[in-house]
Amino acid sequence: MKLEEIKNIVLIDDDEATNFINKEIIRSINESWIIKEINSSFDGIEYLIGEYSTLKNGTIIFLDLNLPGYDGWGILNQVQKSLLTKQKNDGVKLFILTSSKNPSEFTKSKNYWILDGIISKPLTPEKILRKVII
Amino acid sequence: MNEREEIDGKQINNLENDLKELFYIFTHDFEQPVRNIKVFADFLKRDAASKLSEKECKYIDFIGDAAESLQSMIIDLVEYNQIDLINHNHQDLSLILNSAIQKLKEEFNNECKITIDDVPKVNIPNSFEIVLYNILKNSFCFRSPDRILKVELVFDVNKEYLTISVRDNGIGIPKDLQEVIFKPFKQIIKGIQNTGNGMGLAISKKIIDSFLGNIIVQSDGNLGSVFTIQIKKEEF
Repeated sequence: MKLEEIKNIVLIDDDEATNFINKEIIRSINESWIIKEINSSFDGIEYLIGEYSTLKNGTIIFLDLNLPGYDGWGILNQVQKSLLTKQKNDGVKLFILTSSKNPSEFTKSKNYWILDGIISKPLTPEKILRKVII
Repeated sequence: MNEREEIDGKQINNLENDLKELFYIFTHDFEQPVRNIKVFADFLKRDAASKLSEKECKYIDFIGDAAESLQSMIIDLVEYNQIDLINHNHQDLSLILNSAIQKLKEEFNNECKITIDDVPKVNIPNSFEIVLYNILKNSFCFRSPDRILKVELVFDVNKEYLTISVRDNGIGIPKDLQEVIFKPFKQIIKGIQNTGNGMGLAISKKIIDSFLGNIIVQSDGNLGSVFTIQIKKEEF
């Protein structure tokens, strides 16, 4: 994805302060990106199942790993199981955000076709640019 | 005991002592600085709010909220860790139950209907007040916004076991998350009110485990849950 293609950012995290910080970081790269917040794992599952396949080009999704209820992996399991079109949306990049330093999580990520990578917290402009821009 | 086992035993003892010490440091020495953060965030807000922008005030709120949530997690951890130190005096089950319900009614003043089946005349350890309080609190926190909360308590006592079941008409718990709710600091969703840190059921389970009892939950994930506690009478 090229920098100028990015239009929408989706943050799936229940922590208000983290979302606030991440919005500041994202706006520091580009103020015109539209940011959507989703605050629970259940809403995250509903959103991804309902919208993933038809999301517009240039959408980046950051999914927190440590959510109450289903964690990031649990969400991806449900979403991959329920999506009718089991095909990657090429206009979308989906990343897990984690504070864990556990390497097994990086191995786990290979099991999910829907996932584009893992980013360790805190999110920074450099990490966004390095991971997202190809 | 052979030499190898002796060394292992020593190491385990050292490890246990290290852990105890670390835990003590964590709970006592961390609490004060955390409390100070909260207090100074409040002072700053009080004295500087008129000079600050809305966004700057929001920063201060985030600092205060973060300190407060860390503080309450520390308090919960201390409680969780001290369960083994609770003195297990015995009291009549109906007294314990009434006291738990009384506390809840003071905490939540919403409309609810609690039905209590015949309470058997048994003496149980008074730590079960914490258990009953937390299980009932769970019903209050995770009640459905669409219906008046109903809680039904049913007791059964036979030669061997005391069984208590608590049925509510709340939002229920999805099948694949029913084990998670008994772990420390785990919550499935934010409840309607006074939810806390997700320690109530972990604390309850730890108390029940200390009497070699059992707690299970059944729920269709939609129309309420049933918590069932079973304890062998000879264990208390």
